[in-house]
Amino acid sequence: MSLKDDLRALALVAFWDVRKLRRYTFFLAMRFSWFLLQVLVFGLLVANMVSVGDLDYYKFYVVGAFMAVLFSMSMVKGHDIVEEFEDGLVDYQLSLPVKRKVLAIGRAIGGGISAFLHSLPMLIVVVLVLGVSSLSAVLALALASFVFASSLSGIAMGVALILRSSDRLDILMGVSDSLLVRISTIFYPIAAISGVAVYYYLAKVNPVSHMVDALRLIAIPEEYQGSAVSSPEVILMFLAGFAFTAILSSLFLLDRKIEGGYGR
Amino acid sequence: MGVAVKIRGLVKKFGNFAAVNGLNLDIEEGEIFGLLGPNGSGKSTTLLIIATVYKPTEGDVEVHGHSVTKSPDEVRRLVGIAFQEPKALWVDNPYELLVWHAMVVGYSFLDARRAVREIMEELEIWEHRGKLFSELSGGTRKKVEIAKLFLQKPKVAIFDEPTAQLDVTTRHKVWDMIEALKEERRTIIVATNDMAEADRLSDRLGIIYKGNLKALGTPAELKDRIPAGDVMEFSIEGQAGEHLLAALSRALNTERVNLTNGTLKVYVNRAEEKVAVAIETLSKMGVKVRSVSIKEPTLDDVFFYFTGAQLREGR
Ligand SMILES: Nc1ncnc2c1ncn2[C@@H]1O[C@H](COP(=O)(O)OP(=O)(O)OP(=O)(O)O)[C@@H](O)[C@H]1O
Ligand SMILES: [Mg+2]
Repeated sequence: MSLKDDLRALALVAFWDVRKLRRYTFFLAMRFSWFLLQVLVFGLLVANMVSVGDLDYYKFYVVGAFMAVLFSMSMVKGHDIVEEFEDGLVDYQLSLPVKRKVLAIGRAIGGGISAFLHSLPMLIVVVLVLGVSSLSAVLALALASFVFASSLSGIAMGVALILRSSDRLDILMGVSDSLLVRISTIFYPIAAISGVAVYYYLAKVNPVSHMVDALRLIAIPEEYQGSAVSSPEVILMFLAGFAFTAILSSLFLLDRKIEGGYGR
Repeated sequence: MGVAVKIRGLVKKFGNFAAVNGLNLDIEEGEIFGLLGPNGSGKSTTLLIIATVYKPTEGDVEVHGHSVTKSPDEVRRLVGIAFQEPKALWVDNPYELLVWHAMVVGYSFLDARRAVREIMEELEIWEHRGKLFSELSGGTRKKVEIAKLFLQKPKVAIFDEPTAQLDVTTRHKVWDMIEALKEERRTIIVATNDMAEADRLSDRLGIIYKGNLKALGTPAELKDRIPAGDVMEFSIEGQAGEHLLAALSRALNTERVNLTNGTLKVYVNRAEEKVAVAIETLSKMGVKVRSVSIKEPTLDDVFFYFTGAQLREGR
């Protein structure tokens, strides 16, 4: 099969998730309202109470809230795939004339696109609230969000397929949601948590910290330079390494370990 | 004609339980191969391994020389399967699902739309194209599932109980469509519990039981392999005593001869070859034959013989 065929298959596989978008209207409306509430009411209140050096905590908070949304939208893809394997759809896709690697990457990208599209209204709010005016910064924010959503969705789906059980997945998702989001720089600047060593080091190696700080460096570069978890170069390298490891391990798993027969 | 699917020492365990237990089988290129076996005998599991959905625990399967363990990506390009349980998202509508499927198996967008319409009209489900999958009847879902394979036309097409929920008219249509697919030089594997289907479609049959092959051959060969499976029935006039039964038994080389109310029943193999001898024997002994009928064993008998018999004797 040629590269062209593979890319065509990739696009079709990615489209599978996009096709399901319409079922989420209610869910999306809820998420969006909750996000507006957080940003327009809760965030302003908290920002008045908290002060962290010269950092404008409100701007910090708005990006963090967006990252939290992007994270949970991506985790939803794990639950989606559970539903699919209970309906035998994973078996169906495993039988299609598509290379396993193409299937894995396609589903991750499809999950990323759909998590990204779900978060897009929130991203627009972020851009407006922060007054990001340069087109390149807006595009960079969109691209970074999409890439993060794809890697997180891919991981969520991979984990779901390995656990093979919705109960186990629920537990793990609950734990990872609280740990990865709490122990990160989503809501607290790294300087603010440097007092608690364990917390500090965990947040330092948490990929989610790097993702959210990458978004902040794009959205509010001047103000945020000094407060990020690491320097921009380190963040970039860390995230590239993370994506690379995630892709390699999920491809390996799909090729070697994952087989059908779910939900039986 | 070569071998399309070569199954060697195939074992599939779920936990400690072996659903397939050392299966060896060759499926010839261009044939319709029927896979028969009681519920839970390992038919679907075997088919899912051929389709690379399951991985073998031991052994291997080669499809046109490509191994499912070593080059599954190659195998998947040659094989397609219509699952026993139809597969779709509950929010799917049949049309979108089939167009997506058609494109994944290689159609352009325009060709996919045309081909999907054709196949949906042929299976009489075009009117349901826009409904949600969750709203469809069981038979309609099954038709959508098999439509996938008629669109795909893979080198090796696997149907897992294709007509299980279909009405009589549709079953005949689907059988015709499967035969038409064979005319297009495809190899076809049909798992079924339906003897009429197996008899009608299969060039050869394999009967599996507890994950093992118990019998293999054309439907006619398998019927012949049931010892004294054919019945010759004579309605006779005249004197018939023990000596007559003994003479018949000798002439036809069978133990099983009996007479009740003027009906003589003789159990033999290949009755069609022996009926002349029987009539000759009877007339030599002065018995007049009013009518003769021959009953061949049905596939039901074959199935009972190779699986039911072992059910009672085995273990
Ligand atoms: N994914 C699975 N996990 C555990 N056990 C399984 C799985 N798939 C099949 N089995 C078991 O393996 C055995 C064979 O099942 P299989 O579906 O292959 O039978 P079958 O011959 O297709 O039966 P049927 O006529 O009912 O469709 C059954 O006992 C079944 O419960
Ligand atoms: Mg079955």
